[in-house]
Amino acid sequence: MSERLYETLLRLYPAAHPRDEMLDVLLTAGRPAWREIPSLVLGGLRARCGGDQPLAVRWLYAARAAALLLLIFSAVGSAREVASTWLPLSTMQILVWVAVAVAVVSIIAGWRVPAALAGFATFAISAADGVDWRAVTAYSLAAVLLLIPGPPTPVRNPILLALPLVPLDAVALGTEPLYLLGLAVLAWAVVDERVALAVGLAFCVAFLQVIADLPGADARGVLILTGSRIAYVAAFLIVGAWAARRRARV
Amino acid sequence: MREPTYFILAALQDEPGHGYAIMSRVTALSGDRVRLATGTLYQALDRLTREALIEVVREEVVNGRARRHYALTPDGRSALQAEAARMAAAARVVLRPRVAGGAA
Repeated sequence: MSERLYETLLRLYPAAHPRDEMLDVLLTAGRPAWREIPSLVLGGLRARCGGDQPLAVRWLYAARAAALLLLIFSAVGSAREVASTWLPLSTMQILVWVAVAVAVVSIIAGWRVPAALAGFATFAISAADGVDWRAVTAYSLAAVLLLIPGPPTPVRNPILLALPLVPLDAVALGTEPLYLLGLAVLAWAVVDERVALAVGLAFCVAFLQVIADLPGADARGVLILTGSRIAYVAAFLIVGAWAARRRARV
Repeated sequence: MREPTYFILAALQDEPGHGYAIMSRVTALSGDRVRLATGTLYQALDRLTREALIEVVREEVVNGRARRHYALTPDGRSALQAEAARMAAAARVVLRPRVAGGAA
């Protein structure tokens, strides 16, 4: 019974992991399954999804992942607005999407220079077009994040490709499903804190969008919204940074 | 250094050991206080191997299953001794003989 259960759980680990040896230890130790299962599941998820980079590279990965989130989120947002005829389908918009596609592929592949150039192109073209200022703010932050030098760090994580598809409004943030999604990202930091760090970095753009979207006279409204956005950013960055530091400790 | 890491390195200071041997030695050395779950042990072994504090020195097949033997590297031995010295110095601050009722 235990042997089959352990064999099933050990499939969570990558094939290169010493699964056989772990099964041997599990059966020899003969401890109650409830004591072994949590660390076994956590270890498997970390081995498969958590990456094994040093602390500085984990932050670099998070910065590139944040750029990925911003690029996909803004391009999909523009596409939704074009589909609902809120935005015109222009040549400039198509060029922005092409630049986003190049940047996204480059980030996933870990090509730093093409990613930085395409990231800058998304910002330059969308700013020249001047139609969708929310997207311009997001592309500007993505372009800056992609300028950070460092070793190639391919960002291959299905979660980071799926997250930016969730419709989100920086001003009207805070529905229950979004809170639950945020909590899920925070909880996932136990396995891979780079997702929480990426979300925290990407959320920095919410300040710019909140300030741009509200009338200047409503200083109190801007203050409250900016304060709450700082709380979002802080929550993801603090939890992510704490988990990253803990993980880096021998 | 985390406590489980310290005891895992300490378990390897006299001779190499395989997973279950390390687990048993850690329990014995810590006076039954640190009882590593298998998942925790292998996460630590992975991390320590990556940091080059331990290495795999031998592999064998027992009962049809692979079994790797781990040993301290010179860096691992240095890190263990540095941590032990740090804790001993910290302990001396509290445990040194004192004159009753006044400064030592």
